Amino acid sequence: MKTKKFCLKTIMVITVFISLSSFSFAQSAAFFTTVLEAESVSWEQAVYLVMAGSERLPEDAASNQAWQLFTETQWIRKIPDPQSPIKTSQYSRLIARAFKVKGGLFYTVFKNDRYSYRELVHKNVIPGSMDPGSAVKGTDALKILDKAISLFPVDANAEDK
Amino acid sequence: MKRKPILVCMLILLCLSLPLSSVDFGLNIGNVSDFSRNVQNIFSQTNSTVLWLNTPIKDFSFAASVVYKFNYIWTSLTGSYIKPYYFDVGSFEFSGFIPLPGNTPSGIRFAAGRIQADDITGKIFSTKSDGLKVSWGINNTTLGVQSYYTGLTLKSNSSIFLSPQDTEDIDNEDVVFGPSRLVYSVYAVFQEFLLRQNASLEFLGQNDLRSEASPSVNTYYGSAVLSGPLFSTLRYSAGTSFGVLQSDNTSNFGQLITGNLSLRIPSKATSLTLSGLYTLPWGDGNTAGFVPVNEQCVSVVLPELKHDMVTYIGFETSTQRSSVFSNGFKLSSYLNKSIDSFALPVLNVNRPNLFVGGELSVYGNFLVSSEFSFMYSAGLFVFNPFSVIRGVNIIPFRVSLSATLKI
Repeated sequence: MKTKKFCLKTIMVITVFISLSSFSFAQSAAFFTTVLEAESVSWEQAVYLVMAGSERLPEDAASNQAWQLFTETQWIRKIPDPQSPIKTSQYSRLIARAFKVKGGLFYTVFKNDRYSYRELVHKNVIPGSMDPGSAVKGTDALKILDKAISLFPVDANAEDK
Repeated sequence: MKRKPILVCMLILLCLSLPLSSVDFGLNIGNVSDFSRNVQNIFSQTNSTVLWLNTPIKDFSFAASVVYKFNYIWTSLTGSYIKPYYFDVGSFEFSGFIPLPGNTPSGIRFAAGRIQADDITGKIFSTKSDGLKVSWGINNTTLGVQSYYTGLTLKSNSSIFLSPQDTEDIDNEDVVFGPSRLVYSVYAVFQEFLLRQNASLEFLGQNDLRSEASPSVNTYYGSAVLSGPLFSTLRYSAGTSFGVLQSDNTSNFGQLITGNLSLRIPSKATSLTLSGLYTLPWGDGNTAGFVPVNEQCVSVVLPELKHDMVTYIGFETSTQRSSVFSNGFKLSSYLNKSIDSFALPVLNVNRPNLFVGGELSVYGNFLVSSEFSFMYSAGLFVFNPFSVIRGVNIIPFRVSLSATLKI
C-alpha cells in the first residue's frame, strides 16, 4: 500500500514538473512535494506559485521575495497572514491579477474575490464544482495554475490595473 | 392571501441558511420574450429573479433558490393579462456522498428536498419535486430508491394531469398547489455489465393521496433501458416501459418504446442524434394508451403536443466550437396517436395514425461574459394538409429570446 502511494506521488510530481515546465525546474522538488501533499495551501505558498508561474519572479527567487513582491502590488488592501490557508475565491483573485485576466463587467469594476472566482469558472480555469469559500488543496492549486499558464500568455510589458 | 404562507416559508428558509459558513450566493435576473403564431398570435414576456445560495456543510452540500416571476401575456383573441407576484422555491437540496468502509469501492449517495426527479427513461416522471433519493453504489452496480410528494409544487408549475380532478383544479382559485400524489421508484443500474454496455431496470408507482378524488387514478410502470457505445463515437440508448393505469376498478395497459442513436464528431465539435418515441395501447377499446405521470412537450412550436399523443422521430445536430457559443438545429416529424381536438383544434381527429406534420427548429446559446448570457430558439411547423380540417391553411411558428444577468 505504501509503495503504491509512493509511486502515485512520484507520478504526480513528475506530471506537475512537466506541465509547469516554464518555471518548475528552478523550484525545489521539496516545495512541490509539500504543496502536492497539502490539504490546504497557505497564502505564502500560493503567492510563490502564482508569482513564479506568471513570470513575475526570476527563476531562482525565494518564497520571501515572492511575498515581498505581492505586498508591493497592493492587489489586496489588508495583507493576510502568510501561513493562513487561502480560499478558492482568494486564489482566483491572485491568478486573475497576476495573469492580467480580462473579464466581464462586474469583474472589471470590482476585481474582488467573488467576481474573480466567477470569471475563472466562466473561462474553465476553475471547475464550477469547487466551493469558493473552501481551502485550496495542493493538487487543485497546481492544476488551476497549469490551466492559467496555458490560457493566459504572460505579457511582461502590460501594466497592472 | 394564499401567497403569504409561501413567502413566510421562503423567508424562514433564507434566515436558516444565513448562519451557515462560506455561503456562496447570487442573483440571476432573466428575461424571456416569446412570440408564437398558431390558431392565434401569442406574445409572452416573462421577467424573473432567482436568489440562490450554495454552501458546503462538512462533507455534504446545501443549495437553495427562491424565484420571483412577472408574466405578461397578450393573445390576439383574448387580449392581454398580467400575472404579477409569482413566488416559488426553485430548489432546496441537501445532498452528499458517504463512502462505505471495505476493500470494494462503495458508497451511499443521497439528495433530499426539492430536487430533480427522473425515471430511468426520462419520459415517465421528469420534473423538480419534493422528496428523497438514495442510492447505494458498489463496483459498477447502483441500487436506488426515490420517493416524491407532488402536492407542494405550485399549481402553475405542476405538469401532472392524470385525473379529471387534476384538470378541474387548474381553474379553481382555491387550489394553490398541484395534485397531492406520491411517486416512488426502485431502480438498479448495471454499468458496463457486458462489452461496455449498461443496463437499467426500474419499477415506478404513483398513487393519488386524495381520498375525496373521484375517480382516483393510480399508475404503475416497469421499465428497462439498454445503452452504451457501438464504437468509440457512436452511442445508443434503447428503452421500453410497460404502464398500467388504474381508475374506477378498470385497468388500461400501454407501452412506451424509445430509441436514441448519437454520433459525436470531435474534429468538428459536433454531435448528431437520431431519436424516436413510440407509444401503443394494449387491449381492445383502450383509449388511454400509455400515460406517463407528468406531461412532457416534444415540440418546440406546439407545446400542446405531449409525448404520449404522438409517435415521434427527430434528427438533431448540435455544435459547440468554443466555450462561449453553441448552436444546433432539429428536424422532427410527428404521427398522430391520440391527439384530441382540445390539444390541437385544427387537427382532423377522425384520421388517427396519420402524419401530422414536420418541424424545423434552431437554437443557440451565447455566453457573452461571465455574468451575461443570451439564448435564442425558433421553430416552424408545417402541417400535413391531409391531417388538418379542410380549409385550414396555417403555418405555426415560434421565436423565443432570453437573456440572463448573473450578479
